[in-house]
Amino acid sequence: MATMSAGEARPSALGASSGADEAFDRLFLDEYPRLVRLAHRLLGDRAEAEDVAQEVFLSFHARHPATSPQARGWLRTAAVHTALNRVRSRQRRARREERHARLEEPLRRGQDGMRDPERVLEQREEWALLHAALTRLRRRQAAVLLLRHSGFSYAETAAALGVRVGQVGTMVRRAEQALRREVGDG
Amino acid sequence: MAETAHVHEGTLRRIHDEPLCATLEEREHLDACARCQEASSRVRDDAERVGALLAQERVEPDVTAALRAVRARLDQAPGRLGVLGRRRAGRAFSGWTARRWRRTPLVAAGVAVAFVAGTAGAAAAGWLTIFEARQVHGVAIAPADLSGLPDLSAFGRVTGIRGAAPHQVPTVADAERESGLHLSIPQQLPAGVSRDAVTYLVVDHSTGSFTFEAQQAARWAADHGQALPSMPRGLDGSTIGVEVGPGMAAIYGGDVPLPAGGRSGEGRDDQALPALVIGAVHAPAVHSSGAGLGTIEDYLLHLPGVPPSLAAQIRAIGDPASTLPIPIPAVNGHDVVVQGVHGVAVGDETGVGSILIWERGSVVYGAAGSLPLSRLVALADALR
Repeated sequence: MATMSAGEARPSALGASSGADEAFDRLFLDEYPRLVRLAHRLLGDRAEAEDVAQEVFLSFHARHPATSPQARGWLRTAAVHTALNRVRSRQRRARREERHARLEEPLRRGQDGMRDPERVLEQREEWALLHAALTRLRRRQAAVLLLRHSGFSYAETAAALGVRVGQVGTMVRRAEQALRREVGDG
Repeated sequence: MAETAHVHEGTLRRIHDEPLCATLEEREHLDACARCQEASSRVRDDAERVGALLAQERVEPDVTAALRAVRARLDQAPGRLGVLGRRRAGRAFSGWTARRWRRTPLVAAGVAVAFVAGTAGAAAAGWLTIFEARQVHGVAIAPADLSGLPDLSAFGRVTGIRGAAPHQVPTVADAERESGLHLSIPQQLPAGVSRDAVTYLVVDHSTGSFTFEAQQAARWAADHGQALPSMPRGLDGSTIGVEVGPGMAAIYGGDVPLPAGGRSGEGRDDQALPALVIGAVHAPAVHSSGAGLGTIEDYLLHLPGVPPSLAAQIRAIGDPASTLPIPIPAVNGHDVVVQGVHGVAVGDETGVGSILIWERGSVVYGAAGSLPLSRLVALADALR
């Protein structure tokens, strides 16, 4: 096989040059969209969600073979926690920025400029409340909510969290009650 | 009405998502039981409300472009992510940390015991369980016992801390952005500490792991004439791992502990110690490949060199899955309250040196300096 420069697209699916590469590529093609959607559900920002998913895959590549039976569970759990970390960072950053310029913050995302600014602010406040509520939950509760409401089955959620399938329903139920309480809705 | 027990709310929740999971008995009971129907309605209401809260438009990422980007990063950063590069990075960082640890037994022992006991706690829930220390707890140890703690590499395979070397950044804002942390900087610095002589460091996410190996442990025991506890079935070959960071620190004065170049004082006997250090790091995340809490803790605490008093203190911790044990010298170690939470301190009122560790919101904070302990605690208390 010809030597390829960094970043060059490789032949099949970009290029796997070995069995391990092929396995990684297959896993990536299959799992990446789901990780992006998982992170997007929490972050609400597609670019950041993709950043999280790629970061998680890079981290995974450094640690585990793609053929590991725990690969998908690891990736999903890592995506949830990485996204939660980003939310926490955002909250801290937002609190600092708010102290300095409460209403001067520009509407950062391009599409926001096309919307009603009041609605955008309202949505941001709703997001902030939701994020604050989620970060007050136990991490495991936040994780089970995100996994379940991102469409992962009970079996997949159980595998990601390292619990029995029979436990997931109770975990989801308690987490949903806790979230409703935290947002003052229950 | 069917003679079956009421359907558990967890089951009702799953039936809402996966109706086919209901057994025939559960289905018949649900059809006939008003109480369970009401419960089911509440469950559905909560599920739908939370679903609405978490609703997002469906995104369709360009997977091929993303894979190309990831492949490019893997190719361009072999030093960080390739196999050989990982080893190099591991050596670079582990060398730096090992030298640091030799000079700071509190940190070394803290990490070691956190690795042992904290990891054991987190392992209870299985592979990839995230350990979140919610508090720190001091466990007293005599200095002489500290050096006798077992070297884990004798009992299995240790993969040293793997991660990028600490690097200097220009401003506290840069450090916060890179680490995802917020570090309050003291408004008033102690006398003799210059605000101008501050350096900000960031340490990226780092990992380490330990795989139990019965054969290696047996060889060590034979070589050293020691009796070992028998390794429980299932422990041999199982791995526990810890992830730490990212972290950041503000270092006032002294030689900055960079691994190479810069103002590093590494390896010099005349290295100037910083006057004040304030740092924060995301609390450790811990994984286990399957061995359970009791098994790991029991084996490790029975290893030769673990003082019985230390083992007893660790066993006495009420919630090992969320408590980070920090060994503190029996002589001048203290339990303190910092920012309203429990903290651990080493030092006295002489001003020679004090160290303080506390945890808030899944972030472990530390402060150290040539200050009387009470002043260091007051300084840390004001960092809110």
